[in-house]
Amino acid sequence: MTNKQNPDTQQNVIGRSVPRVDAPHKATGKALYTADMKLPGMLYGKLLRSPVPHARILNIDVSKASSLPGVKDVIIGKDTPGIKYGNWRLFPQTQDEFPLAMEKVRFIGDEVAAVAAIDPDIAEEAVGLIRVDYEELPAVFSVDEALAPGAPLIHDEIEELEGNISIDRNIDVGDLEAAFARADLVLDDTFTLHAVSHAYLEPCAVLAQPDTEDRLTLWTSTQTPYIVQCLLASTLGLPENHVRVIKPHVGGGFGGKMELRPWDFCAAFMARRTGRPVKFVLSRTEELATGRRRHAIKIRSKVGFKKDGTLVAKDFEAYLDGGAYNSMGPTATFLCGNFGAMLYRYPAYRYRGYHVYTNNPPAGAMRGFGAPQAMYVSETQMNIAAKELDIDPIDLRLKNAMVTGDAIEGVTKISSAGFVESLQKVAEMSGWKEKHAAMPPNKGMGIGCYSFISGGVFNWFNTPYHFSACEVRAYDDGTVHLLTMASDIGQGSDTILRQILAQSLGISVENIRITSADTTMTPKADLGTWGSRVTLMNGNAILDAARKIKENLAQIVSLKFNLNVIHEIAFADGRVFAKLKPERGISFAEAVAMWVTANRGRELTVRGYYTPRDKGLTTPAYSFGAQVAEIAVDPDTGIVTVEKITTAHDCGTVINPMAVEGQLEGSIQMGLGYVLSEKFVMRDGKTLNTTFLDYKIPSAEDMPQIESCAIETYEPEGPYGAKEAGEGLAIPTAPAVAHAVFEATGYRCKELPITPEKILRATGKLME
Amino acid sequence: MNKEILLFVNDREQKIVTDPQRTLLEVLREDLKLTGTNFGCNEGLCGACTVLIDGEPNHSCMVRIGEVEYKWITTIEGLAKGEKLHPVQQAFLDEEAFQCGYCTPGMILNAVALLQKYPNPTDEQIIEWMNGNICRCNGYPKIISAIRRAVKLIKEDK
Amino acid sequence: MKPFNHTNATSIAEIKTALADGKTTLIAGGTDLLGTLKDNILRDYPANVINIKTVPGLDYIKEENGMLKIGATTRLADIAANETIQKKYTALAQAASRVASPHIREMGTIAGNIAQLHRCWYLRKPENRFDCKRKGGSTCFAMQGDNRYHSILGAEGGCLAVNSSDTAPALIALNAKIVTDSRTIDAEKFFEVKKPGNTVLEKDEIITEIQIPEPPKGAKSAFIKFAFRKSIDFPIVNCAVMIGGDNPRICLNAVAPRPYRAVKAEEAIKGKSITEENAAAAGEAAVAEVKSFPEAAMFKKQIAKTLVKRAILSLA
Repeated sequence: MTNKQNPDTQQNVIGRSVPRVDAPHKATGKALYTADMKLPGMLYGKLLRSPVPHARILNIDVSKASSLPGVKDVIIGKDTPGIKYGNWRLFPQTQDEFPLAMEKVRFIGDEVAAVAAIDPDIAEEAVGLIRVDYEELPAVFSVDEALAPGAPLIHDEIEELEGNISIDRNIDVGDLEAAFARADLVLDDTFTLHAVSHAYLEPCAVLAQPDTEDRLTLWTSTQTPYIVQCLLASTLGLPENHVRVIKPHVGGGFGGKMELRPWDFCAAFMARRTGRPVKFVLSRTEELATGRRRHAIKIRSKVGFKKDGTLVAKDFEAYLDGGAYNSMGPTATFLCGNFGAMLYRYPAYRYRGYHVYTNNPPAGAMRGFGAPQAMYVSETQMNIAAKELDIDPIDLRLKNAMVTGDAIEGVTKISSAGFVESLQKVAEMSGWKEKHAAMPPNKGMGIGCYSFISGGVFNWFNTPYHFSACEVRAYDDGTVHLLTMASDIGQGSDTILRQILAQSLGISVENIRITSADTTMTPKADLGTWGSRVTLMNGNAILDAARKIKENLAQIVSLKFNLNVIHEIAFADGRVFAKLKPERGISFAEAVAMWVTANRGRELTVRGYYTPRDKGLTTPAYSFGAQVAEIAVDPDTGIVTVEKITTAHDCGTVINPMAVEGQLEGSIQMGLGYVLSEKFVMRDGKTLNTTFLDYKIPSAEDMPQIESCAIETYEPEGPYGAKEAGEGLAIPTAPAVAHAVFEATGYRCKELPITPEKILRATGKLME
Repeated sequence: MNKEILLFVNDREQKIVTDPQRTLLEVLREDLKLTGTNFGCNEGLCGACTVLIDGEPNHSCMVRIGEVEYKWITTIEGLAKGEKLHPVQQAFLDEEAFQCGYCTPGMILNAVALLQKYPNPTDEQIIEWMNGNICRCNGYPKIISAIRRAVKLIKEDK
Repeated sequence: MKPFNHTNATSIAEIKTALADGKTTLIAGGTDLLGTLKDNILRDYPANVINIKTVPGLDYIKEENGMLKIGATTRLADIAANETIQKKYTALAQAASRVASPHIREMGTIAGNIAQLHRCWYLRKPENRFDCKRKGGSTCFAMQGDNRYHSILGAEGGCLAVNSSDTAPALIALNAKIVTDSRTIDAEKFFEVKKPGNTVLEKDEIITEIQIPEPPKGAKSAFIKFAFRKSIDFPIVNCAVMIGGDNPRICLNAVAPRPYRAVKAEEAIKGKSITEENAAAAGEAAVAEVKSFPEAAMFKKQIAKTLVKRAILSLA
């Protein structure tokens, strides 16, 4: 792979599979996750959760629990400052959660009380001794129930709300009615998309340590240390600077660890009360029964085409089952509408999105929030239309595909798009033209496409600071220290950010030390790892810092060699030199040493920042891609075997090919689970399948053969032209597999997941 | 209820006075401070806590410490010989067979056991053997190729 | 996990004495029991757990006096890998090789696999969140709730949970006997729905051996399983058949509270050649008695008849 952006260097750090900085520790068991940490005098925390979906708390009796030997603290909502929190700080009425329930509980699992004891078994026993009297209230478990007349109000305490719709979002582009009037084919379908679990392998954990002077340090399994810091400080009534949040190694997040959570608060609050460190580690049952999940969404989509396949209009209506609290639901509502309009050119588009409270466990952000659901619908309708119009599904897409320069009026602009190329490439790689129409019986080939954001622009967190920041310190021994709040949760940002810095300073990655995700040590701020934002946003902050370092060192080298002002100073191979007269230069280390001397002992330390400005409301840059699935169906049992997945995708410049491949393969695993095997089984708000036995994640045997190709475009807004490769890839597998299942069986799935039972029912095998 | 239990962890004798019903996972992590063995589900369904007991892979969350008296336990911390990584560890690094790394110690130990039993496994044998271990980030292909690479590394080692 | 005493037994006699107190539970591989204890799903939590795996001489596979004998604590992995079993008692080897995951087969024992508690997500919900009929409560939640994976052949004792053992139908098809410290029981008569047990065993009775008579000349057996995942999964339906002797034997599991011997299917295939048509007819006969929950039962019924047909055809 070539480096297009930095031709003055022989070394190409960009585009190389640089080994992960954390790899050796992970392979030898030395990597520390939060649950691995232990401090002297540490207490163990456990939570008491609501067993009922909706109730008023009449009384809580903690006396037995408190007097159990070994119990050091028991807290309930009334003991806390009672300050609400939520990620959408920009709209305070959306901040609807208390760390511990105050007057009401709203879902099975809502946190009611917490215990800290000298060992986890005692804490567990004490939780069992807390008596809570509930007055049960009527509860609703679906969007339809929640919106029915006379439905109980789940958040009756929020004055701004009239019903159970917590937030809505409208998009109106063009004249919809006029556009539909021009359509030759109008599809009008309703889809039911289901909730699934992140199922990160590391259950959530936190350790809080009280500090001198009323401050505290929190180690927590999070994707967003800055968000946790701010919200924890506000719920505790402390200045932000009194709270230090450190992210140790994190065992996966996928969007499920991007908020302040009750255990973070309880650990901190009880640590301050007892003067001792307090640790919480969630159980797998707690995670699956009460944890955040992908939104279940009901989507009605009406879409119009001309006979020749040209799209004319789309009317998209989404009802998100948000569960009991907003969590990241408003963002999912927002993005669902944005992604309903992506991939293709819709001359007219209308979106109505509603985030609805129910008494289910709250949904949150999960890999692609809003987009997997929206695009399952869009892509399936493209495949339906292709059939109806008798046009090849790839040709239909090519006819309408977004290209560089396209825009959704008032919403967003596409600054680079390799969608057409992705479609062409995936057709070629998979042998689509020859194979698609000629599949043997019970086999099918299908296509699904995606686009995704490279970080969000909309400042729902209302941060006054830059979206991303870093500090770079250059030393006279030639090494560099990068400090950033960006959070590596396994996706590899610590490695990728080092690559970007190494490339821009012309030094080797081995000479860069990184300290990341510690709110006290690193500059303010970084909003965290979500929305596939880190490479682009933190990468740009690093480029800003590198530019400042280079300006300083260029002065030194110019001075030393008396270089004419027209000379460009290059940074490569650990040297700083005149580009056209490479012999006029010194090593990077020497340049730093001279700069320090010239500056009378000052340290060469700079800060870099990035905030997307004037980039619409959504994102600075979009990824694109197309995927083909080949499947076989057992006609008697309905079991689907996915045999092969072929992907061509545009993530801009590939910074680390191995890391991108890892994201793709992991996305396919998650996509297969979403479309075929994973589903929460609910009964009256209670999650029935709370183990990895009943909640079925694909295992090694379920993986298909995988082929892929990265279509390299150059994204002007991305560092070295890079865009996202983290979330978008999790989108296309579901529609591609569903299309292939249709081709094999005639069953068109509008209610995920596709189960053997649904296939057999559709194929008439379950008739008496 | 406490009992003195003798066992050998990573080639070292360990005498532990504890309740024999505690799980091996808990004793490894809490008493012996070997936190490389990870807690994932506590029900033998994810494989994150896999260790070798007398060379055989086991979910340490499902084994009580009282059961492993006098047995040889190998955890991820005991796999490298000094500075030199075990070939399976090396192969996982070479193939970048992990992202978050939480399943990795269990995956590596299970793979070590596989290659002890089948030094030249077929792809089917690898996949069948690794099925008890869940990975949510990498989606398995790189893990499978790491095991294939480890087969070669072990041969080169000899 | 709540505390209990753990003892490593050294003899059957020691276990018998221990079990007599009514507060002690036997443990072998622990793959089923530890889960139930950790999740605290039982009303009667044992005070003591006694380990049978430490009793010497219970871990063996041998052929003796025209029969195969398997010690109670023999691990499923060893059964799956045993060449004699693979060759002559094929259904059992296949069944053992399909239990859960490789790890669990390394720990789980044959006795534990047949004596495991029923599968039902109401019954097994942690912390006894559904106080169901099997646990002494008054309701079977599967009766009105999500019952896709429950019995399609009616309830027993008001309970719709199914027996999910993979090896049980293989043992029944192979006409095995379960030997305890006090008697020998036909595998087919070994299962019974109790609170909370699954077998006819008395509280202090201990499985010591499994005996399988050598199959009649020319007889062959096979086992197949349908689950949503290829590993770490319990069956939606599984099926074992033995054909070739005078009397075919066909047994399904996970369709009823007890393993279900499909006598009508046996009759349908008896004396007939193994053809697509005959196998399909046997499949249809196997599900002739399906009754409960027509809607939910349909799917399992289709799977059951398909498995019977395929198992028979695999022996052609």
